[in-house]
Amino acid sequence: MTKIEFLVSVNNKTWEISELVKSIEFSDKLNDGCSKLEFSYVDDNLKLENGSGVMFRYDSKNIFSGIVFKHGHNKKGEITVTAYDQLRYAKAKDNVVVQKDTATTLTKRMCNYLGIPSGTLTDTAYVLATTVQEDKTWLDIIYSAISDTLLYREKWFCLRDEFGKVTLRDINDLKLDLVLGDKSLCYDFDYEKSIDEEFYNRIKIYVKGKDDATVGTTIVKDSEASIKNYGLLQYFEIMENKNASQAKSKAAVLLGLYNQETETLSLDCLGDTRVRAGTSFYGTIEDIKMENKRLKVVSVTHKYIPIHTMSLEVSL
Amino acid sequence: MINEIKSIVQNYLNNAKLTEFLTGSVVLDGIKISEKLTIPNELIVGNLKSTAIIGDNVRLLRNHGGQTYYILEVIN
Repeated sequence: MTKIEFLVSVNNKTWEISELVKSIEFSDKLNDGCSKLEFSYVDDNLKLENGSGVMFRYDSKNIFSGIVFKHGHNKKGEITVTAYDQLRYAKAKDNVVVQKDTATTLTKRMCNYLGIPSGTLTDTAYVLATTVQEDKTWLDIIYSAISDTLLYREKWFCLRDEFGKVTLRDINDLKLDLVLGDKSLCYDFDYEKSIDEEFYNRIKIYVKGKDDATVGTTIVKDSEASIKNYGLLQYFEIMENKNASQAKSKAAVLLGLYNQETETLSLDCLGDTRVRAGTSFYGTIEDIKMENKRLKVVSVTHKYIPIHTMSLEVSL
Repeated sequence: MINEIKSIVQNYLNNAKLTEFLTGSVVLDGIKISEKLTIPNELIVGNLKSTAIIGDNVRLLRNHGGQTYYILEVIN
């Protein structure tokens, strides 16, 4: 238990409650809302309030710094608390004009406007198309900027809170030198391979288009080998305000992304504090003939009591 | 259950940005439709775009999806 440092601040007073905490669970998802710390403790004298600050360190590593949003009590005197990180505030809706912006400048604008502290904001270097985002949450606006960047620059970024500061990181910078698998730290796994979801081997784009000659053209891009194997699975999209060559390059990128069997793998392992959503590690599992394959964490839940374990979902 | 469905449909419609009439006034870098929101010139189309002058009040038609705005008329 000595590895746990748990601080809460209530009404400008800070308390160290690592001895009182009964359970700690930290969950984090890749570009899907804020991270969450749920914990429970026993003590009737310390009354946490919504808005109180929570700071959690494990083994001298910064894990979580956030704000209490929910707390509940029961007859046994056990208090359960849910705290979120700074990105919780990014659920605010607004009207935003995206003009000469990148995902990075949008994140900066959000942090300034909402008064959220920011840390490292990696330059995504892709200037987004001009759009008007009406009545949308800041999170959705930035996530769609991140997907556009992925689509047109083939680089993926991750928006997250790191110990109280919002950061934007290139997924490639989050590679860990960590091996997880049936011979290393992992005690259970669940694997599935599917073409049921998000699998397409023909991409068809109808260009509704600007007022030029390409209006009404249809772009088709497919993989014959894949159609022979799996049957024809078609993706269809109507693209507005774009021309045929833009549609062609989009079709090629989409075919590359979608013409792959989706594999899902979840792992239960002994904990490693470095593992957060967006990081990647080497997976080695004999049963499914996987050897030192880079796996990216899509979501992770760490439990710290009685010992540190984690359950991860990864994408392959 | 019914209330949940209603709120889901409402959210969807808000997000889908249906076609809608708007009024705004022409400013230097676009058409201002509210204190906070100025539609950039890039997204504005229609014959009147070249003749409308700063200060004109115009009626706009927002296309489905909300990414183009057509100037219908100048109103005074």
